[in-house]
Amino acid sequence: MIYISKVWKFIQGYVIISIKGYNIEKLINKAIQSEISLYDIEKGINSAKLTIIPAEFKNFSRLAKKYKCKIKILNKNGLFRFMLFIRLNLLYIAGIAMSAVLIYFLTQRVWIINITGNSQLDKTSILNTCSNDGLYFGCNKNLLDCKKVAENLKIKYKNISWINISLKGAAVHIKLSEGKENTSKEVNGNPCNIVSLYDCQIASIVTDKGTPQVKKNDIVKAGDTLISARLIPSGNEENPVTDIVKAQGIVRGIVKRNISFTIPFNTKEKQYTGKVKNQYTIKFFNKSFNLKSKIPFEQKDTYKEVVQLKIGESCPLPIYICKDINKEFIYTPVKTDINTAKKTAEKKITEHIIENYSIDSDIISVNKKMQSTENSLQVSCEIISEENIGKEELYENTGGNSSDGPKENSNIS
Amino acid sequence: MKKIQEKISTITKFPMEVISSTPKIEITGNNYIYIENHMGIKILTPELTVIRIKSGYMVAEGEKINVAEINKDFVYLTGIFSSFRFEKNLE
Repeated sequence: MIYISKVWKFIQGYVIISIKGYNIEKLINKAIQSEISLYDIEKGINSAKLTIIPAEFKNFSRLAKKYKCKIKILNKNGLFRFMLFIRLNLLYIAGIAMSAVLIYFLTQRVWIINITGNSQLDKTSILNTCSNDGLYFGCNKNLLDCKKVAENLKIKYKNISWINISLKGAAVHIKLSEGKENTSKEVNGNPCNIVSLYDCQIASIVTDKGTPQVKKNDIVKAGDTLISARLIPSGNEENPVTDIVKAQGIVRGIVKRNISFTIPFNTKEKQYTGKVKNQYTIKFFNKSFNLKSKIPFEQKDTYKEVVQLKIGESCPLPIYICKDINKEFIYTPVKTDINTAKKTAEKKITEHIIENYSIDSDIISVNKKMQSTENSLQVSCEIISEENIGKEELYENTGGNSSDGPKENSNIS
Repeated sequence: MKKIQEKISTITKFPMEVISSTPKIEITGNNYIYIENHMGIKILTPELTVIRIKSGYMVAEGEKINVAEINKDFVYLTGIFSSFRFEKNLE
């Protein structure tokens, strides 16, 4: 009821007025006796704010004079006023309508194609295939058949084992998983030798499959066969087997490595001055808009930060804000004494071992030689370690040292 | 007179508020009060509203009391009402 009367009031139009006086209640009572409807009466101290229909305003103001109340018009509103507003602000209304149409048009298009799970397949080639099936940037999402696109992708790329294409808002998410590489299958299935990775002395050999070609304390070179794929009967077997298998076993060798480096006594150290200047680039699809200004720094380090604008979590927009953070630095000369240089050298050697040796390697010895000159400390270091030296290599039937037992160990001393 | 009106109402099954000027009051929650057959406003403040009815006064107390609409037939009050009572004479 009250809502219907509000709509009717809007159609008729209304005036919001304020009244000041001492007989406001009496004025209201007299007005309603004179069949004047009043709306939204908010009473204050000796004042009130109310809404009245324009047709009844004249009578009401006459009554107000009678009761010594002052009337002030605060606002006029209603359908007529609204129509007038539209007429006077036609461009404004057209702009609202245009933007509504534009938003509708843009939300009906695909603006983001997100591909995840591809390691071997190229993103561009996937996009090209998708574009043949009607999935491209700016395509109509109502005409898009995700199932068909997925099927065609799977037919074209045989190594796709699973694919899912989903449409969320204006973004298409292509999730796929690829099968394992064929090359590894070949190595796994085919017979292979185990060859040495480094020049070393054999520390131990445990053969699971194949024929061992070396024994403990033998010295081998990189590439020499350690366990052959060819089974050679020793003559003691009840049922001798001659076959070519995939050699398996663990061969550990003692490997010597030398490293040498110099630690200068006078060095320059990088020091940040604390001055930072940011540069911004706005990327819209593939187009970049540079907002870059000149950087007054001579020496600087640049870090990049990319932020993609999003509407909620599931609706990323094709707008990226790239921020280049430039930090100024200067080189300050640092003088190092011999003890500090020695400590640095030891730290460097430890770091080298951690970085280059696998976790199953045993470091047998580290022999350091440090020689101090006028300007630097010359460091040479011999690291002896025991580690796995075997590597699988495909067995070749014709030629090669794997076909010949004794020749494989041509370097055994 | 009142008794005659009541009798007519029971015989004809017309509502009392149609036959006589007996007020009809509808209260929705503690936010809305709709009063038909009122005789005007006696006091109107945001905390207290007194409406004159045939049998005396209707007093509504609360906070932020406004008159959403008033005309000869009805008053529609809005606000947060805490009490509602009838009084014969206003002291």
